[in-house]
This record gives sequence, C-alpha cells and structure tokens, in this order.
Amino acid sequence: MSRSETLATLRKVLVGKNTPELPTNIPKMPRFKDPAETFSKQLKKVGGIVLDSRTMGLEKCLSTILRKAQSEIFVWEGQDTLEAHSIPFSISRAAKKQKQQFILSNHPKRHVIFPLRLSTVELTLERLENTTISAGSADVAIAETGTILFRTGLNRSRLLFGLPPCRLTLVSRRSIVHNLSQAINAGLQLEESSLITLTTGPSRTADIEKRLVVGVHGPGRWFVILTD
Amino acid sequence: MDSNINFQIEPALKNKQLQKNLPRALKHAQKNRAKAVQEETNWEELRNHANQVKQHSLSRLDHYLVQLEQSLQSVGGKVVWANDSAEAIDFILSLLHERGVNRIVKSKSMTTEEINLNEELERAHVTPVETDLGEYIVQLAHQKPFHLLAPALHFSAQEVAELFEREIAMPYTSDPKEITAMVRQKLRREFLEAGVGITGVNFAIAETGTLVIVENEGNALLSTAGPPVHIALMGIEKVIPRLSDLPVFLRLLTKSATGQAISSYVHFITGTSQLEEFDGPEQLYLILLDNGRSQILKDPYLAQTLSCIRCGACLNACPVYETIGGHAYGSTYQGPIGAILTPQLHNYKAGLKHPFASSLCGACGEVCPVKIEIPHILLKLRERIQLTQAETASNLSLERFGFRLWAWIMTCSTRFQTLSRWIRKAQRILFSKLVLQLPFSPLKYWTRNRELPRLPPESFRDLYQNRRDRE
Repeated sequence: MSRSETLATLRKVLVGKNTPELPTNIPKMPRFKDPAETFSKQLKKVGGIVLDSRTMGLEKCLSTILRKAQSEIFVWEGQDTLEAHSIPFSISRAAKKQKQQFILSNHPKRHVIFPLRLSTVELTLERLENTTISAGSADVAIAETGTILFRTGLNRSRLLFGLPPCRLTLVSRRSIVHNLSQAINAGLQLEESSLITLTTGPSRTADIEKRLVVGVHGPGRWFVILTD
Repeated sequence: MDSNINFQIEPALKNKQLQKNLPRALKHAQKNRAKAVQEETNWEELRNHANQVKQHSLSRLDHYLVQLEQSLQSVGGKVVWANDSAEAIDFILSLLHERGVNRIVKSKSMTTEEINLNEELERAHVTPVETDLGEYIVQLAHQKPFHLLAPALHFSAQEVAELFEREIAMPYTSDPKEITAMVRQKLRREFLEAGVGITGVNFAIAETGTLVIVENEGNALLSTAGPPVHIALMGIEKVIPRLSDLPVFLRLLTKSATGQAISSYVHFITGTSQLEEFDGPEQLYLILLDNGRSQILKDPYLAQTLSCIRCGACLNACPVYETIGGHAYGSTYQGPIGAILTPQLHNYKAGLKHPFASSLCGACGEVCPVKIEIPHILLKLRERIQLTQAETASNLSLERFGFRLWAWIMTCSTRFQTLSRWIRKAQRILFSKLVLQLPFSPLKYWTRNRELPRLPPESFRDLYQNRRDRE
C-alpha cells in the first residue's frame, strides 16, 4: 500500500521535470610513488601501529605485538590467513578437517617461534569477550588513508573483528592499492560477503568535549604487519 | 514528526558555559575541516560531481528506489515503504512484538530521531539502548541531540560524570578516557543480547542493494553483528545510483564532518548473513521513509535540500548556531540545514520561524560539500512562509507600511537629515533599555539580548561640512 502510494506521489511530482545526466567521469583520486610507505604513514597518523616483516622478521613482529597488547594468545581467522602470508604452522589432522575454524596460538612467554602450534576452538561468546588479540588478513588495503578491508565469510566473524580490544591484520604489500576508487574498481565483490568494512585505525570518539579517545566499542589497539 | 517546533533561544543565551564552550568547539571543527579541504587538490571538482549525481538521482528517485528494492531483495533483504513516521513505527513495533523482543540496540541515526523512535519504543515497553557514546549521554539525560554529528557537544566532562553517576551508578570520573572505558564495558553485553539492531544509512547503492554506514566508534558494526535482526531506516533521498560514485561522497562527507581523510569504519552491508558466515543478522529490513520528502521534490529549486549528506559542516560554520546552539531549533535537524529542512518537512506549518533565524552571511553555502544553496533557499522559504501564513497577514501589512515609510524618508535628503538630527538628539532617551523594552516598542525583541548601537555624535555630512567651513 505505502509502496504504491509513495511511488505514485514521486511520479506525480517528478513528471515532466528535467533529468540532469549522471556525470560520466569520476574525479581522479591521488596515486603514490610508494603505496606501502604511504599506507604506513597514514595509518600511524590515526594511531595504528605498523610493523614491517622485512626489517623485523615475522616472528619478532608477532612477539612485539604480544608484549604491547600484554597478551599471550592470538585468535586467528582460519588457517588460510596463515597460509596467505607463509607463516609456518602445525595443526592436528582432525582440526584441519573442521569447516569453521577459529584457531588459537598460545605463547605463554610472549615469545613467538615458528612453526606456530595451533589448536582449534569453538567460538563462544565468552571466548569472544575475553579474546585480547584477534588476527586476520586483508585482501585489499588502501595507501591514501591507511585503510584495510575486512570481509565476512568462512572463518570471518564480525564479532571477532569488532569485540576484542586489539586487532592484528596481516597485509601483503601486493594488496595495497592507491585509493578508494581503485579498491572499488578492483572489485569489492560485494555480493560475496554480507559485510565488507573499510577500517582505518582504532575505534575512536570525540563525543566528550571534542577530546579524542580511542577504543570506544571496537579495538583500541590497531596493529598491522606488512608482509611480502 | 515533532509536534512542538518552536524557537527557544533564551536558555542558550543565558547559559554562560555554553556561550564560552560552543564557539571554541565549533572553531576546532572548522579548523579541522579547513585543513582537510586545503589538502584536497580537486575539492571543487568533487563538490560539482556529487551535486550532479544527487540532482540526477533525485530527479529519478522513483526509478532508483525500485532498483534498490530489487537489488536488496536479490541478496535476501526486505524492503518496507513508510509514508510517514507512524507507518515506520508500526512496522518496527509489530516486528519486535512478533519476535518477542523487548530490548534493542541502536547506532546513531538522525532519521530515527525524526520519527521519535525511542519514545515510541518506550511507550510500547521496549528498551532502546543508544550505543553511540554521544547518543547514550543524551538518552540518559532525556534530551535530544544538540548537533547532527556530536549529539552531546553541549555537555562538559563533569556534567557527563555527574549524569552517569546519577543515572547508571557509574563511579564518578571526569576523565573522558575513563568514562569511555566504562561505557565500553557497560554496553558490551547489550550488543550480544539484544534481539534487534537498528541503524541509519548514510548511502544506499541502487545497483547493488548495498547499505553504506559510516561511523567512528564501532557500535554500528556491533549492532549489526550480535542481534539476529537488523533494521535499517533511511530517508528516501539517501539512494545513489552507482557504487563508483561512493568514493567521492565519502571524501566529501568525512572531510566536511570531522576533517578525517576517511572515518574509522565504512561498512558495506549487502544482504543477510550468508551460509558459511559465523555471525551477522539472519534478517535485514530496510525501511524507506518518505515523511514529507516527496513533497519537497515538487519545487525544482527547493528539491536540492534533499541532496544533504548530513555532514554538519553548515552547523559548524554558522554564527547563529554558534550563538543559540542546537536545542534552540526545537526540531530534529539543527543549524542552517535544519532551518531549510524543517519547514519543508512540516509543510510550512504555522509558527515555523526557522528560515528567519539567519544572518544570511552565506558561510553555510560555502562549506556545503554538495553545493546546496542554503542562503538562497532560506530567502525563498521566508517568502513562502510569509505568503502561506494567513495569520501573519497583519504583520505583513505592518511590514509593508514600515518599508514605505523607510522609502519615503530615504528618498528625500531633507527628510533624512532632519530625522537623523532628531534621533541623534533624543537617542539617549529613545535607545535606553527602558524605552526599547516598552510593550509597543518595535525593537523590543531584537534588543532583548543585544545592544542597539548608538549613532555617533556627528553625521558624516556634518563632519564634512565643518571641515569645509574650517578650510
């Protein structure tokens, strides 16, 4: 009823009105000499912590994050995250067969040694609430703004992404594009995920006296490791 | 719709703390925006582009809404059309009733404010929990948002601390960091236990059925992560045809709003949670709200009002908003955009004075990222309100008489000089507070909170004549 009413009203008021053309060219967006460098610079500006596996090595990067986050456990979004960034790991055959996998790697002394020894866990609400570092991978990152792209899918949980106080994202240098337009043109493949989120640094607010505070509802500590 | 829309400027003018803090906060916002805009090499090109896209989509709104509906349905969402607030509320309440939900989480949305959603939910014994920090503050204080983007801009940290201590027994602290950390803990379980999450929509992409939500805190993410049902409410004007235009709008929005290159989160929601996904809503409803918008499209010039992307830049730039604040407007939308949107949404209802509350300085038009000609619209609305309000006909004839008298004086130099000489002599009495505040004084309202400037002792003509005489 309301549908036909609203549409009828719209058609009545719009009839005979000029329809300006949709512009054909989208304004040009900036490009950068070294997208990875720009990405790091921009992300640091908004409070992100960027570690480079080229200079530090992946094991050391991960150990540093554990110490900074005062945590001993990473909760990984599936073994494909580790495979995509060539992180050696060992996992039981039975666990490998599970379709939905949330994987823990435990480092009691906050010291990471490869291969990671992994165990799979059922992701309960308690686990989600108490997880300190959730870790995943971004298939696209944007240099201009220091943004990473998160998408839902197998082993990709909105809550695991949004609830913990710390988030680690592994970003391959190859996946960094110059700007948002390029990210969209490269194919967001919107239909493949019910949620795609462009995230830039820690969650923030300035709602009280315009004073900036990080870590409102989403992660307050935002780590990225650049890989090759 | 708001039932009682009236200007209330007195409380803001008398609030000394607000008069001190608000200009400072707005200057800060203006500075951030100016810096971000300066860094953009093709700002004007972006503005023109966005303006053209909006003009196009508004001129074919029926087409794009149907396309959006089809696209959204194809990814598992459902579209609900609501002619007015009552229909939107009815749908939400019946869905909550059907699912036995009595607690919901909400992320920031001015459109839900427009339909008075929280009050209606409470009346139906459903508890709405605002999860944006600013909205949470104003909800606990039983107030309306003060600013499109910063709902609790008028609160000091001490006031927030006192409010939280009183309303939710939070230990007193005026440190924004500590307050925020405690609110984080407090609201955590709400996201996980709520039966429904309600959000607004910043842009809806017709070709893909994607709802784009822009935020900084992460509460919109969690409001659409925990609850099994997501209800998104948007005004019909928020639809844009193509995904490829979105980067332009996002740049304009975040730079104009907060000076950020991009906000912390930009969500693209395309349908319901898919089979292999771990969480996310099983049901997604998009409510398309008209509520007077289609009537705005009638006038080809005024239709541009609907291009607004709610960045709040015009509020930050407005000297009137800076003086009277957001609550003075008495309506959902404040500042210059509120002054042009409110009378149109309310069909020029009697008593609407919003377009008159402007100095027409033009700052709002200059900063508008989608180039809405706000100052010109204000003038046009003034004209329309005057003509449509029969009850002001007597005021109109008084105004006409005033202008005729003015013209009679100004077109004759003898009359002008004689009168100004009289006024100069008698101004000490004429312009005294006592006389100006007499019930029949024409300047009674204007001078209530302002000083009337005195004429200098000698006019320019007198000065010139005296000098010539000396020479």
